[in-house]
Amino acid sequence: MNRLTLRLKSSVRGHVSLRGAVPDRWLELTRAEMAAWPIEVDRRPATIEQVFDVSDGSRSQWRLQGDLKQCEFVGAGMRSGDIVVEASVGDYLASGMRGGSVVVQGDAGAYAASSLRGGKVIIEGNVGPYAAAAAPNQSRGMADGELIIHGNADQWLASRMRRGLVVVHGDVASGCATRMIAGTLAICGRVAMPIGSGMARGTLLLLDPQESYLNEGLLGFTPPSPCQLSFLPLLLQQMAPYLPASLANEIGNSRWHRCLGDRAELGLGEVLLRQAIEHPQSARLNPS
Amino acid sequence: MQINGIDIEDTFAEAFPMTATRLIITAADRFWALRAAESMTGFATSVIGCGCEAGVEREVSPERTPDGRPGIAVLLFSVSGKELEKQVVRRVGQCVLTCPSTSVFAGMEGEKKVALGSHLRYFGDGFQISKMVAGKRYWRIPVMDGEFVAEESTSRTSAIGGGNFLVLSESLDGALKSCEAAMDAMRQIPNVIMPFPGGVARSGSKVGSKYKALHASTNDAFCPTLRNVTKTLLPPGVGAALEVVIDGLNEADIARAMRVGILAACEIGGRYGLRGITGGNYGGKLGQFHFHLHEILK
Repeated sequence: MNRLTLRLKSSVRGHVSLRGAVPDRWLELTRAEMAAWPIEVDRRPATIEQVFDVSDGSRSQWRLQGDLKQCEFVGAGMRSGDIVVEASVGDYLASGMRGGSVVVQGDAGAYAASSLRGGKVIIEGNVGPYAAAAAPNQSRGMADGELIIHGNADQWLASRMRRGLVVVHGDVASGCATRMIAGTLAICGRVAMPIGSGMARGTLLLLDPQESYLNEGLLGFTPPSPCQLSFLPLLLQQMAPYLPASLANEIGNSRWHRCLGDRAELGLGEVLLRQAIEHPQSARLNPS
Repeated sequence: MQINGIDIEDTFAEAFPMTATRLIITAADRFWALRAAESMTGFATSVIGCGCEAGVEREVSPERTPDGRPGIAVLLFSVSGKELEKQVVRRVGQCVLTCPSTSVFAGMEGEKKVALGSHLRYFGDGFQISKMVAGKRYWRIPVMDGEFVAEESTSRTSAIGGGNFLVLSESLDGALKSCEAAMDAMRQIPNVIMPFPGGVARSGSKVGSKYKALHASTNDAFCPTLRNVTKTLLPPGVGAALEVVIDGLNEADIARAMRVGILAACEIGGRYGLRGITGGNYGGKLGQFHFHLHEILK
């Protein structure tokens, strides 16, 4: 069955909030009930049919089209189903989502996957500040699930993150992993300081760190020391499908350096700095 | 019934219910994985005195282990979930955690859980790290060679202990040769272990004893030196009897192991004085599982 398609009407102006409009709540709805589903435009009541052109299809599989930068809370609170967004999208993408998957074929605004509880979010472009962080009025950030960002990430990525996996293919702005509680954050590109301020636990993998980080260390963290961690193969196997292909192939042949911090707050978060081996002897990662 | 001229007695071997778990021990290479597995399955021949029965089930290739390193699968059997958990934590803590480069993972899935890393983590003294990967929790415990990784828990399943057959031979040498052939064949069978040294017990026991404190005592009916002073079950000419004991995850696996073991023993036994095969039959007093030799060998 085709995907249910929602195309934002070009005449609509203002912020559209799709809070509560998710596939798992539409499974049993008739077409008329879908059309009358309440949403908000600039905090004023509206219905789906006033804002979107709806093409009927599978209730559990949605496609969103149009200029969606003004569209907020796409997939927020979703428990199952999947959404493909064929454009850039606004703030609060998949905020508090508990299951299912969301794929954005463009950029996402602030608070993407904030307080995520489960499921998978893939953003093929860049993402705004506070991705995987705590949503407003929440004390904790992402608590489970997976967030994959193919582009760059803005400030405060994964701050107060509690659990789950975040992979960023591009660069990351300052403040990532601030007050991180647990979970895994892997960054394939460059990262701006400060990193991991107030980090309590959790794992931050810098897969292409600046040379200065390897030589001089990270502020608030123990000096980088070479390590061989039995757990790394398990972790890298989990991440391998989400990494750029070139990196996934060579990551098994790497040296790793480990820092612990933020020691200013007696934290035991770990930052693993990858150093590529120029002439690898053998590959050990993911033999399957 | 005869196989290659060897008498197969029309009797059954008794076995009893147990609970079992499987662990996968990995290490930097096969040598260390095997050392850890051998150590943790040592002194685990009989629940009567060891708390559990354990053994190496098979080697696991790196492609099939969770961390891509060489692995060994071990099976542990005990009489209750509580005792099994006690033995798992104690043995992994003393024999696997201590062995260089090792990690330990659950080897079976199920609803009944047995603590593993969730108990061992306290060795980390607060420096231990918990990580969730693909829905499973692992504990990383800092140790002197890096870190010891243990999965949060393993699972247990109902199982059977005490499957057996007895090899009756003219001489000890002949009995040993027959048992060695049987063991070579039985080690290829999955889901079973033979917990005694080399898979064979020479001190087969009967239920009960003249001494009130003992639950089991020497099986005098099969002791050749007591042939003339007790009600012997040894056929004339038999000078040595050895018992092959099998624990398995289900009846079919034990029956299969018994079958290949008996056939292998009979294949070469005639050359070494093997006279007969019988089963450890205790008149139904030992256990609810009865493995009839003639049915198994049909």
